[in-house]
Formats: sequence, structure tokens, C-alpha cells
Amino acid sequence: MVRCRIADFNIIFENRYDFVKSLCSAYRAEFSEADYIIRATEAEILREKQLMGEAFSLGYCEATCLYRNLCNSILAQEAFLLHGAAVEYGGRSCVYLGRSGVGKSTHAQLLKEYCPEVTIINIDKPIIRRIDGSFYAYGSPWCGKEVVQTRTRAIVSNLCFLEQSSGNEIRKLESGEAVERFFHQLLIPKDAVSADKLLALADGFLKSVGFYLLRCNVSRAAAEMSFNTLLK
Amino acid sequence: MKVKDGFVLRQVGGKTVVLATGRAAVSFNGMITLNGTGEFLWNELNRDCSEDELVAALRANYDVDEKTARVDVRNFIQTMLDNKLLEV
Repeated sequence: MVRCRIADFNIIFENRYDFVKSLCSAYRAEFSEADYIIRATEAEILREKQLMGEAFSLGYCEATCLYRNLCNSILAQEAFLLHGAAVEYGGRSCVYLGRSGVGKSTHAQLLKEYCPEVTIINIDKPIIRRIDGSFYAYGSPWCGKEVVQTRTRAIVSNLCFLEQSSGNEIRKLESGEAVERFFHQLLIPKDAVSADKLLALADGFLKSVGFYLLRCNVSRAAAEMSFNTLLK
Repeated sequence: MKVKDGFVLRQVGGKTVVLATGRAAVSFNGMITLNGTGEFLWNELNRDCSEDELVAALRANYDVDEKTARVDVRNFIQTMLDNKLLEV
């Protein structure tokens, strides 16, 4: 059993394998009452293992299932998983979104090199949670193969969709242009009640942030453009 | 014909978005966005209805002639069938 505090929720993971214990070490907490008790069945873990392949241990697969089950559960309290790189500067966050391999992690790290005061909240799978009408991006133990995250939170001001390009250009998007791109980065629940909750949350979230499309290369100039438009 | 059970429709970011859940998610994996006419026809198709009924409903609610309405309805139904969204 692993007790953690993630996205301001008290969580108990009822784990079978030890991997999740060390994964969550920075998020361990003591509390008398859990908001959620999360487990993964052996069948779920084995299914995950079949998808991921021999290189991944059962413990790693269990941890993936536990995060998925957690993120499905916390929808009830206005929180959801977003696949992207969340960075913070001056108390505000921007989340970079895009297809796998487009370079979100690389861009986040370039931003940090450009401006060391930038904090990487979660380089791969932040939790977004609405509290008192504001949407916060949270760090969590699940933070990509680079394992980059900070146990913190910040209100999300902007979403930025990334595309690879030889040059660098950034433009604002209308919300209609952003909707389809945004949905590709969500964990979509299988049941109707949760899906409806997610849609309602997504609507609130999209109304609270600005949207941009950044077509860029891997350079300091790209980080500078990104920082000046989205974070400064 | 009728939309399969398990789809959830909502306004998100100014667009009409549909997600597949439950049984519908087995054959459809993705999201759908609908324009105004599409949303209207989708809602009509939530009850069992024929192509003629859809054309009549479209003409009753939109200023469109019979020929255009029939083309629009046929195109919509075909898209729905191609994506396995309808029970016929």
C-alpha cells in the first residue's frame, strides 16, 4: 500500500508490485482519510504488459494501470489527465501539446535552458484540476521517460500546439481550431457518465485559456519566441 | 435507422462534440464534431427514423428545397454508415 498526495488528493494505491512505491517517493504523504483508493486487477496488468512488450516489467505496467485508473476516478472531482508538457513561469503555466514524438519534452527543456526560472511542472502527463473556478496544472509521479516534474501547481494560461518546422512561427488559434487538436491529448473514459463530465470540464477549460500554434525547430530562437509569447 | 447507443454529445469550445462510450466505443474510436445541420440530424437520428422523415424534418426547420435537403441527408447518412455509427 502506498499513500500519496497528488493534485491535492489523498490517494492510496493498493499495489501488488514495488515499482509504484519508488515512483511515488516524492509524493508520499500521511493522512487519516483517503479521497481515492486505487487498484489494478491482474488482468489489467497483463493486458498492459501485452501492449507494452517484454522490455517493461509487471511493476511498470501496474503503475501505468494505476495512473489510468486514478485519472478516470478523479474526473468526478473535476480533474483530468492531459498528455503534454506543462511549464510554469511567474505563477502561470503553459501546456505544450502535440502528437507523440513532435518534441514537447525537447521544447520544454529548451525553455528551461533559455530561462532557468522556468519550472517544468510535468514533462509528459500533468493532471489538470479545476479548483474555485481556476484550472491548475499539477506535477505528478508519472512524468515521462525523462522523469522530469516538480511537485507544484500553477494556473494554466495558455495551450500551445507544437508542429515541427524548419523555421519558427507562432499564431493564435480560435477555440474552434483548438478543440479537435485538444481532444487527441485526453484520456477518454469508456463510460457515458464520465465522458459527459470530461466534455463539460473540457468546455470550461477551453474557455479559460488562450490557444496558439507554434511551428518550430529545435533552437534557442524557438524557445525565445515561445517564452516571449506564452510565458513572459 | 438510429444512432447506435453509447454516444455522448456536448458543446465544447464552441463546437458540437460527440464521444463514443460503452458498446459504441468498441466499433468507433475517436471524436466527432458536427456543424449546426449535422447536430440537428444527429438529434433526429436518436430516435428511429427514415430518410424521408429526416428530409421532412430538415425542411421544416431550415429554409432549404427538397432536392438540396435530400442530398444533404443522403451525404450525412452515408458518412454515418461509413463510420459505423448507425443501426439500420
